[in-house]
Amino acid sequence: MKAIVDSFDRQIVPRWRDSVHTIGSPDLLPLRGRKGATGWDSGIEGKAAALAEQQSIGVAADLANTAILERRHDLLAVAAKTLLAPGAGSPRLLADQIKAELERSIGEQDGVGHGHDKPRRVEIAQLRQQLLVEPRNPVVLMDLARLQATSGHREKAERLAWQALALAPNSRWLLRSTSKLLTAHGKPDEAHRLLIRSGAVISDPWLIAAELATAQASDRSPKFWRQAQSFLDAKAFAPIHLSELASAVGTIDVLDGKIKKAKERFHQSLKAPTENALAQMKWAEGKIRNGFHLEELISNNRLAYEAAFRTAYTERDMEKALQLAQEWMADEPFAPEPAANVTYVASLLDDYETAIRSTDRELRLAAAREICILNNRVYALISGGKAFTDEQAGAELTDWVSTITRNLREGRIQDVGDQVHAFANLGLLFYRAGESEVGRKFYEQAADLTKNAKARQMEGAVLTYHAREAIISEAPWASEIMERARKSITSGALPGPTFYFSKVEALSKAPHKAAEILSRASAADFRINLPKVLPKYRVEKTEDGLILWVPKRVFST
Amino acid sequence: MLSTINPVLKLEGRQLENDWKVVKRLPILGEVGAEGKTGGNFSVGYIVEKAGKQAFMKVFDIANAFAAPRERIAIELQRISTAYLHEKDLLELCRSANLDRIVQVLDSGTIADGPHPPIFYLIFERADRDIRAALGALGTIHDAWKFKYLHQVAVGLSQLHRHKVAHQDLKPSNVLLFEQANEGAKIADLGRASRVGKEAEHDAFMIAGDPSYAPPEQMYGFRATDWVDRREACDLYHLGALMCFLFSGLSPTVGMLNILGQGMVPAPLGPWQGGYQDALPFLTAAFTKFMAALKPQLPEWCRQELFELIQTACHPDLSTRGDPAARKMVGRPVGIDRYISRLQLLAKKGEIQARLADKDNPKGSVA
Repeated sequence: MKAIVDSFDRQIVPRWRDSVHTIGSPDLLPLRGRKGATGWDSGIEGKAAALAEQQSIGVAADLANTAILERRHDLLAVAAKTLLAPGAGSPRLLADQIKAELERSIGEQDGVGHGHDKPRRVEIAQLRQQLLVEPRNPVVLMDLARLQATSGHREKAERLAWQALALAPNSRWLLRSTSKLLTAHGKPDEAHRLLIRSGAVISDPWLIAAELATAQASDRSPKFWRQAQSFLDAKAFAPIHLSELASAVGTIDVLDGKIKKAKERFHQSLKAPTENALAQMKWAEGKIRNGFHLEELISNNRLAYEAAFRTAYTERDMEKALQLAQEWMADEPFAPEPAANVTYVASLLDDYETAIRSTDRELRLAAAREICILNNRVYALISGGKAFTDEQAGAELTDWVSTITRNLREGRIQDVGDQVHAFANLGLLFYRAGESEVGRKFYEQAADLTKNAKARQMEGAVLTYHAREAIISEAPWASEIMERARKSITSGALPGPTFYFSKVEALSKAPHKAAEILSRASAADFRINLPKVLPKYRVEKTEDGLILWVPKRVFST
Repeated sequence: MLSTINPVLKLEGRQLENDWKVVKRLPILGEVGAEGKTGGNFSVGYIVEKAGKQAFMKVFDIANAFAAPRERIAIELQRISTAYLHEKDLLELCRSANLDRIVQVLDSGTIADGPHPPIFYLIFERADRDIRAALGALGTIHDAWKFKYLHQVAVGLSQLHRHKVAHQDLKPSNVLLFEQANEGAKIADLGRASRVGKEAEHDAFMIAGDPSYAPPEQMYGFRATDWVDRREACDLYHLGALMCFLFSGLSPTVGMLNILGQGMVPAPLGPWQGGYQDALPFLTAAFTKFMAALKPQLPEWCRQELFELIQTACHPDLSTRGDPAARKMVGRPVGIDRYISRLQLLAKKGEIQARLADKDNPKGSVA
């Protein structure tokens, strides 16, 4: 199994939510605020008084419009008495609007969250209907692009995104969304080209952050590095506008080994963090020492699915991690990363049905499927036994074997991690087919490949899964593999392999309890509750100097 | 400030110039039956009478000026008198140019016979009711009447535009019906009107009229420099909003902002502090959604035509608002004349539809 969550190079590529759920998010905010309309006077009290005088639908509707606009639920209720009275004959659209408004609970925010309660085809049909009304609407085109991307129609999605951009070439939301789409489709270089050619980037920290991230993803030098530094040094905009930019700069600093600088930038990014900046910080957490109270920030941001997922994963709370990865996947259904992580964590929990289900979309993609997700799917099909009991799954496995062996032979798989995963899957297949010797050879090949610097972190995982198969098949070399796995894991493995190693270790002690141990129900037994040790005293560097934080004393009564 | 010692409130029974007699004061805000008022110039309404004919008198409340801080009283007095003169001038223009779709001013004057500062008043022809009464009635007969009124309102706007005047505060309560006199609908209240070459204080207001019917560019703080885009396109939006209101009960401004979501509702109503251009793509998407929801609610017999009228008149992008063909002409007019002819056609069609329905249903219960 290969995990994207463990990959070394996360970039702070922009999020892409649909227009309804984007509204209210900070990346839509203008860099400089405008003064609101002054002299606002709708005469709402006068309208209410007029209604008291003449109980007519028209006067009530006039009041209702103003009450909806000004969120005056008290006066809306007054208008509703006339408008919603039996036999009032109010226009239906107005009546529906009033009912919806009155039902809206006080303090509830709209325009956030990721809930899509309609089937995707219905949403697509509605957007197409809207395009008939307004064919040149970039926002509707972009929303349609997102749905097409989610359905796996990559070319259609990209075409729609380009159409939208042609209509509003300087729109921050469109530029960032398209760069995300192209990156998710494995075209970060195209995303980077798009951004460096746009005239809007140079003056916008949000777009420069995207430029830096896509440059990093496409192994190019960022064009606006200096501009980024100057915006951050000058604190040219409100902290929320600089959050992702500081995070993008901090990420590059981490990778360049400039940890002190990186820490300063991440500190700046957390002054008013976006959820994307939090996820990036979570990624960087292991690489820089921090005292940022990240968990508190994450728990306060209800869209921080990825960051919260990373926290749960690090704490080896895989049940929670799976739930958060699924929420993240619902938030970004078109992107491969959340799907890959759902498959991965579900497999760590031995919940192969969930793992398979979360990869269904990938199967519908005609081209450019994510090899990592497909390998994870094949792993789940074999590990869960579906490949041997279900005809369709069996055919899928046969296809995969012929494709992967050809690709390996012809050197078509560039990523060493994917090669390791493919060999390990072949090893698993042979073990399950009763050919333990052949299975062992493939696992050994996979383990050899982990000597490569780019796949070193996978060694523990390969050996752990190999040990599991050796134990299940009662191979004589099981204890030897188990020992090698232990050595690799204890020398510093990632949370996922460490979690699964605990399971395999339990399995080695009680092979007869395989069904029990290798099930989702056992997850809690292998969760390691890391004590949240907060330093008693903490020194924080701020612009005004150093702050010494002393723990607050709590007196119990 | 309106109080019982305010002379503006004590005019009942007074004899005015030109034989007008003040009959009755209309309720003020806070009293039962108060009329809706917008704008900063509070006024008080009276019923006046002359030779057995009643009229409506609008009295400018000078006491409002005295509620201001001492150092501003003079300025406020000047402001009110300027507002009075501005409206009076416009009304005189309408009367002399015989703009028959604008509520006519019958008289004007000043009461300056007491210890109080002079009281300015305008006397208008008295309407039976306003167009809000037309909402809620269903059926093709009523649709035909709605189109007839809308046509007359569009003619009124066109009359103003021909004299380089833009109304800027057209809303349901400012469209008065003169049914007994068989004169149809007329536009009232030029208190917020703008005129080329004659600057008024309210010309600088971001939203001169009722915010519930304001075009999006005003809500988002954008001022076009061009007269057509800034003033005539605003009037056209108000006309489209009136169409929308009469057939759905909703203002497109309210419908659009509600779909848009609270996050992008402009200050001071919501948190959004961005400009009009930043919000425009999202506004357009919200408008499209609103129109898609509105379309099935429009009467079937005129659905497409009415839909197109509202869509072009209320488009949030003011550079494209208006009749598409007219917008391509020199000077980029909004094409109000084309709306007039389409509304007239719809009124005729409506009449035919109503007669057909009447024929099918001789008992007359057309629904």
